[in-house]
Amino acid sequence: MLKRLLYLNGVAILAVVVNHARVWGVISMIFWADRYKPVSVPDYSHVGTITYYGLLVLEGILQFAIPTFLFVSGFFIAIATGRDKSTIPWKVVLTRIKFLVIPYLVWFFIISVVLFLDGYRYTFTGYIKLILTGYLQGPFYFVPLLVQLYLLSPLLVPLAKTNWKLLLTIVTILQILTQVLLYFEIFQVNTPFAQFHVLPLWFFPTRIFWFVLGIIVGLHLKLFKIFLERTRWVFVVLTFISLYFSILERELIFKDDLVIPLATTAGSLYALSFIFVVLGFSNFYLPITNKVEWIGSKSFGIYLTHATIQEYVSRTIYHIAPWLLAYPVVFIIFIFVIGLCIPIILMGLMQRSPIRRYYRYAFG
Amino acid sequence: MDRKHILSEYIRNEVIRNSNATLDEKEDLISGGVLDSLGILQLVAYINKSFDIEVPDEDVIYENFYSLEAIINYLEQYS
Repeated sequence: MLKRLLYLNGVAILAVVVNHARVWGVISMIFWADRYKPVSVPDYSHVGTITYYGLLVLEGILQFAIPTFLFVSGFFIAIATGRDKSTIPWKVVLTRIKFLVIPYLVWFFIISVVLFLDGYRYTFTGYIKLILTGYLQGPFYFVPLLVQLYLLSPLLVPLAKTNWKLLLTIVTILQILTQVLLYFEIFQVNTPFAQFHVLPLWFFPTRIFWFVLGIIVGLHLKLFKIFLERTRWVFVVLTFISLYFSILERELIFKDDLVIPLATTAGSLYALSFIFVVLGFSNFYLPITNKVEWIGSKSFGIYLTHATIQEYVSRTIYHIAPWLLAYPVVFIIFIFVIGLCIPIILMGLMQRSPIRRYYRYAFG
Repeated sequence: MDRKHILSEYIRNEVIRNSNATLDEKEDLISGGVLDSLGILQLVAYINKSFDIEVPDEDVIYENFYSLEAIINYLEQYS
């Protein structure tokens, strides 16, 4: 089952890159439509087309990515704790954080320079805020989030070892609560705690469930395997049902807004089922395993770099080849390939260069 | 080459990415940040491929994988 985690990680990073290519596809359909047809923007004429529904389904399918990364990170905490220790040593935690934060700061600096040259300038306090929240670039929030979870891990592990049911109950309630609060905001229900309706994605309560689940599964692997053996077909069914409802939920509540990232309740259930299905059927053949695992091993470097590359290539196409925007599927595939290949080429070049020993400081 | 040399070379070339690096066999690879989550999974896959040893999931824990010496000691049962 363990070797499936690497595959799962590979599928997750592919999903992230596809999803961000999808976002640029949606932008081309709505906000850049005037570049290839005589309309005023935003142009919502795409709503109800096959492409629109295709992108809606695609968005639904890809929801497992961030939960997967957090699950794998939590699983590592379990491995690094081992059988004999009561909790994970701070030294391990701080080293993990070091190898997350240094590449993050390297790319934060590079992207800040690019944005500075592009006219986006912030104050010193502004930059500090951007570092702490990850708001400089869409996917960056994951790093501050994971740092918080790693810092919490020495407190979580003892409970995960001795009273995992209680811990799982607490984080499940927390997960449901953060999503219920979101519905108050969507349906504009006034409550005394309105400022907590939409919690920022970098804030740990929004995603702690997945990290803790990884720790618990890692620490109680035998028990989990027995559980999965009995229930894996239930999760297959649940995957399809929850995917259907998460797409329906998105369509009914958010209508034609396909850009805002959301973690819906049905979407979380889908992510959980998806992860359990991949792990539950670990003896089944999966396509292109070696290649996906290889991509999985490069996930952090791809994660940090792909979004900026996709953004600048998309914006270049907007200026020099707007005709391509008229074919959203082709455009999305192109942006996906670029978003995957350029980071891999950059990593490959560094690995073959004299500075390869610093690779981990650049790509994790 | 024996297992120790093969694994040492793998860790220096593929994990540390410095073939000239000195690797103390007692060095804590996990606490030192050499092996992270994906690094351990890749190492297990490499052991499977190179030595034809299927490491049981339950054995992939700190005690068996924290240093080169620990890995070699663990793999001795498969001699």
